[in-house]
Amino acid sequence: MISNTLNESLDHQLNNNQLTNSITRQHTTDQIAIEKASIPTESTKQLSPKQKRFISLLRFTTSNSFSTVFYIIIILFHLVLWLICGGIDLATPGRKLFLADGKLLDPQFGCILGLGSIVVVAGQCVVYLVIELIVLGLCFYSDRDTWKIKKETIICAIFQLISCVLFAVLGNIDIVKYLVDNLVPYGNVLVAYSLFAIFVSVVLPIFYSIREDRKKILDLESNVAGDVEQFLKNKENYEKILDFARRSYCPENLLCWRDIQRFKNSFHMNGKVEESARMGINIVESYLKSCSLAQINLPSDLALKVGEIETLLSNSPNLINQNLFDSIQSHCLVDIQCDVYIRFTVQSKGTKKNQKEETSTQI
Amino acid sequence: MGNIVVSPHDKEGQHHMMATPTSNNPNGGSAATAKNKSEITVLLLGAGESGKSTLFKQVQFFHGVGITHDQERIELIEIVRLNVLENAKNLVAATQHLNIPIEQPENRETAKLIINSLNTNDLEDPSWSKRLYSLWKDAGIQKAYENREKFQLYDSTEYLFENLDRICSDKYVPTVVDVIRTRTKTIGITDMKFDVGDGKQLRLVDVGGQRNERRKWIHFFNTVDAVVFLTSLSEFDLNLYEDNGYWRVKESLRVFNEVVNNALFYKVPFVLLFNKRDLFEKKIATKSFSKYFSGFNEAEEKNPVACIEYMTKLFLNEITEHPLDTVSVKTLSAIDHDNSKQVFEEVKQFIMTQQHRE
Repeated sequence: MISNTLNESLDHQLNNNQLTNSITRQHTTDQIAIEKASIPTESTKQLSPKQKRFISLLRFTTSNSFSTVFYIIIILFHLVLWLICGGIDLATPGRKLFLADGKLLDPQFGCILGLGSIVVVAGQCVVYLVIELIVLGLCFYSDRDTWKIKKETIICAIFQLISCVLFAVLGNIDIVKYLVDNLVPYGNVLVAYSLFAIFVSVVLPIFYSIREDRKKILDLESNVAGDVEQFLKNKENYEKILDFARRSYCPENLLCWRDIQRFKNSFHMNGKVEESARMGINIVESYLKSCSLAQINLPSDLALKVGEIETLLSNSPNLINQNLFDSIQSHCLVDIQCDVYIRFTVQSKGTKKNQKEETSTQI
Repeated sequence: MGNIVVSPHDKEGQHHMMATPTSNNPNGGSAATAKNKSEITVLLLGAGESGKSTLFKQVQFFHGVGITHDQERIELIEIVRLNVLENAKNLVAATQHLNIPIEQPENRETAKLIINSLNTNDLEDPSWSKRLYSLWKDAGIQKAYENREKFQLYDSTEYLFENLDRICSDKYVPTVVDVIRTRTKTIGITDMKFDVGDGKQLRLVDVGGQRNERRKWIHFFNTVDAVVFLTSLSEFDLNLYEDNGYWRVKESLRVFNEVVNNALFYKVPFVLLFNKRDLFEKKIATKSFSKYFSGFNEAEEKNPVACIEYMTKLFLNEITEHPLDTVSVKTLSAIDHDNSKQVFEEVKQFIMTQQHRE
C-alpha cells in the first residue's frame, strides 16, 4: 500500500518532476476496498465420512506398500500362470494348447526369437507406442514441471527414438547382423535404452532427493539463504523455533504468522467467508490490538491499519480476501528473521558443535 | 574481568552468548525459584531504541563472545543489509510525506526499485553500492535526512550509507562495529553471564523496550539484584516507533517512573544511563533543545553539560519511592567501545559496592 503510494509519486516525479501530495492512509483504505477481488464461493469446510474414506483409499493406492504388494502379486501371478501353462504344454508333446510357437520363454527351447514372439512383441510395442504418444502430447500441455517429469519424459522419448533407429539400422547391416551380433547382440541397443530410462526416471530422482535434503540441511545450518518463510513452513522446524521462542518470551510473532497462514488457507479449505472473518477477528484480538494477549510489536503506521482491518472484518466480511494480513505477516517475518531466527540458528550451530566436540572427546 | 560461563539451565550447552533463551522455566529459570547469592542479576531496562541491546552487544564483545567470532557476524549479513534497505525505504517515503522531491532522475529510478523490488540478496551486487550512495547524496534525500525527527529512521543511517562499498559486496562479512551500529529490535528476553570475581557471576538480562515488550519484564522483577535503566539523550525531538504521535522523552519518563518507584525495586541499586551522548552533542549543535523543554534556559541550549544536567533533574524528579543513595546517574555512548567498557565497569563496581553494603 505504502509502496503503491510511493510508486505513484515517483512516477509522477519522473514524468513531471513534481511531487504529489498524497495521503498514505487514504490509499490504505482504498487499497483494502480494491483488495476485495476474490470472494470465496466453494464450501467444503469439513469432509464427509464417505469423502474421508475415499481420500484414505487414494492415499493407500499411492503408498509404497501398495506398490510393492501390487508388483509382487503381479509377478507371482504371471510366473505361476507361465509354469502352469508351460507345464501343461510340456506334458503334451506336439500340441500347443496355451503358448504360441514363438520360442520366447519356451520351456522346451529357452529364450529365442521366433516369428510368433516378434508378432507378440511388435503388437505390444504398437499399443505402448500409441499410449506413449498420447501421454507425450499431454505432457506438452502441462504448465508446471515441479518434479521434472516432463523433462525426463522428453529426454527418454528422444533416446527411445535414437535407439529404435539404431536398432533398425544395425539390423540391416550385414556385418553387424551376422558377425558383431554373435559377440555383442545389437538388440542390446533397446536394452540400453530401457536401462537409460530407468536411470533417468528412477535413479536420478533419488539423487535429486538426496541433494535437496542436503541442501535443506545446509541452508538450515548456514542461514545464508535466509529464507525464513520456507524454514517456518516445515512443521518440525516451526515447532523447534517456537519452543525456542517460548523460552525467550517471544513466541507472538511466530504464532501470529501461523494464524495468518491458517487464515489464508481457510479461503482454500472451507470457502465460508464468515469462518475466515471469524479467524481474522481472532488474529486482531489476539495479536494486533493494544494490550491483546500476545500483542506483536508493530510500528505506528501498521498499528493504524489494525483499526481499518478490524472494521472491515466486522462490517464488511464479504470484502475480505486472503491478502488482508499480508503487511502484518511480512512484518512478523522481518521481526522473526532479525531476532529469534538468528538466535535460534546460532544456538543450533553451537549445540551441534558442542555435541561433535563431546562425541570426539568420548571417542 | 572473569570468564564467560554457560548458564546452568542451558541444557544444550550453548557457548554462544548471542542472546540465549533464559530458561525452560517460564518464571525465569533457576534464579526465579532459588535465588543464588553467588549470582547477581542485572536488568537492562528502558523504552525502545534507548540502546540496551547495543550495550549488551558491547558487553559480549568485552568478554570475547558472540559477535567477536566471524561465524556469528556472518549470520548478521542479512540484518545489516536489511537495515540499509529499511533506511533507504524510510528516506524515500519521507521525501514523499515531506514533499521534498528527489532531484536526480536516476535516483528517482533507484528509489522506485527500492520501494518495489529490491531485496537484501540484490545488495551482493557491487553496482548497488554506487546507486544507493548516489541516492543517499541526492539533495532531496539529504534534506529529508535533515528533517529525520519527523519520521522513523535508525541512528546508524549515515554510517551504513557511508560503508556501502563494503556492505554491497558478495564477500561482505560484518565488522564488530557494523554489528554494534546495526539496529535490531529486541523481542523477548535474552541474557548472558560472566564471572565478576569473588566467586560471583553477573547475569545481564536484555529486554525489548517497546510497549508490548514491557509486560515481559515482570518475569525478572522478583529476581533482580540491580537495574540499569537506559534512556536516549538524542530522542528529545523524536516520537515513538510504536506510537508516532507520542513524544519519546515523555514515554521514557513514564517508564522510568513506573520502574524506579516499583516496590520490588526499593532496595535494588539503580543506575540511570543517559545514552547516545555522541548523537546528542551533534544534534544540539543544529537543533534547538529549549524548544522541547519550556523550563530550560535557552541561552544554555548549546551546552551539552547543561542540557544533560537538566535531563538528569527531570528524571530524578520522578523518583518518589526509591532511596536516592542507591541511584547512580551516568552518561554513555554505547556505540563507542572504550566508553562502553569504562562506563560498564563503573556500573559494575557501583552494583558490587551496593551489594557489599547490603
